[in-house]
Amino acid sequence: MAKIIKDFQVEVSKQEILRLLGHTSKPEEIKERSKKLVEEMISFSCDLIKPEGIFVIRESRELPEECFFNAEKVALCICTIGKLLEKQVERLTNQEELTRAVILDAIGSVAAESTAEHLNQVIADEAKKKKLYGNTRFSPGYGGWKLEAQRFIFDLLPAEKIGVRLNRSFMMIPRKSVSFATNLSRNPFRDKGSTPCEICGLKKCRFKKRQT
Amino acid sequence: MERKLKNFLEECYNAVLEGDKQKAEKLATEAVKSGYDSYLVIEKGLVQGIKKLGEKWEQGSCFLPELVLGAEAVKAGISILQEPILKSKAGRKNLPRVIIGTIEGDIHDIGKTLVATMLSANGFEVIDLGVDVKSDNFVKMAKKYEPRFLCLSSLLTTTMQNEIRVIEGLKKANLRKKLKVMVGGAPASLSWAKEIGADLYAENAISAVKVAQREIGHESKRK
Repeated sequence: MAKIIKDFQVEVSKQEILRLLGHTSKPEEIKERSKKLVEEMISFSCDLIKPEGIFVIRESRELPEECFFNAEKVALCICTIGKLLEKQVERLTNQEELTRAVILDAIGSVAAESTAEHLNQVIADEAKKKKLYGNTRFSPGYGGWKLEAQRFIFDLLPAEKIGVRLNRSFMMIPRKSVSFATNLSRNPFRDKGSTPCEICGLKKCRFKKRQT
Repeated sequence: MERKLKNFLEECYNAVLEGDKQKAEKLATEAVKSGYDSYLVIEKGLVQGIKKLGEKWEQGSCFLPELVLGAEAVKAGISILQEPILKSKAGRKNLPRVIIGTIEGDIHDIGKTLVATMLSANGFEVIDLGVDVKSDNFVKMAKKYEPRFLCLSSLLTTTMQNEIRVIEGLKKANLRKKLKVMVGGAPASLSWAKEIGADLYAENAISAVKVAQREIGHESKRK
């Protein structure tokens, strides 16, 4: 049975926002004016982020997707930050406040990823109770998993309960939503700890996270 | 070039580097009042500033909001400087026209708007059709406005297929050879552009400007 998780806060990392906005050098090198704009939009975004998620844990043998072959169970999840933030991005774009719109959009992306991380942790905690190990989450459209797999996740979860739907191109609405799967196994995964960037097939990406 | 004008153009350049929209508007108004050549102020002042920011962004030494602030400053300046240009028929012809939109089924907006803004800041006349644009509408608008470039944005592997329908529609309407089709967005690539019969591919907003400018250069040489 699907579980809904809501009424939680997510951390929106300023460093991650700056990274998404293409900042590759030291934070002190950002102009004062840009810093203020980022701060202003972070404050503005506080009331616009309403994280929610829904997930279900299923036996992997019941699932048709090949990518679950090395797991006993699979958690499937859809989460969102809601539609308020993107409505504001749209408003700012229409008012030709593109810089603010771009910053707010990046904040929304970071918040959506944080929401997914939170849900993945909830899943890991739940799995632990069943003596199962969790793994890195992966999403349709990334790392070689076809975008069309969205249909499969949405067929298994009543996403409308958290206000998310798919359009005919398998795009989630609201846009700042994440769908993902996490493999669960009785034994620890050998590739545990891989970041989504390490799994992703894109070789040339400005936003690729650097390995530390 | 007289010293006063040279200093004035440098002020325009710096206003863009600083992303100072108000200053760019003030300078543009001053340029119109003083009777400076609007093209000169745009090309040698404002556009030089955004070019510099674009170079810095490509080198990773400029933060995206600073690039966008610069583009907004150029756009604000151009909207004032364009008034005298648009009043003359000859001037109107000199602005290379671009039609841009996100393809049917896709509602991603920010990336496409950034490309539109950068093109506009670099002296292109941009008609932005928005998001989820049907292939028929791209063709209809291309027929109506006769652009030099038709830019198609797609962020999804599922929606990029609809770009093929736009190209087919252009062929049927006998418009294909009259414009250049440029594709962009995360799943697009040069090989995708070749596969569907598009002319050009741009990786990001700065590259879109460079690719379009290079194409205009090639066209001029051919003439």
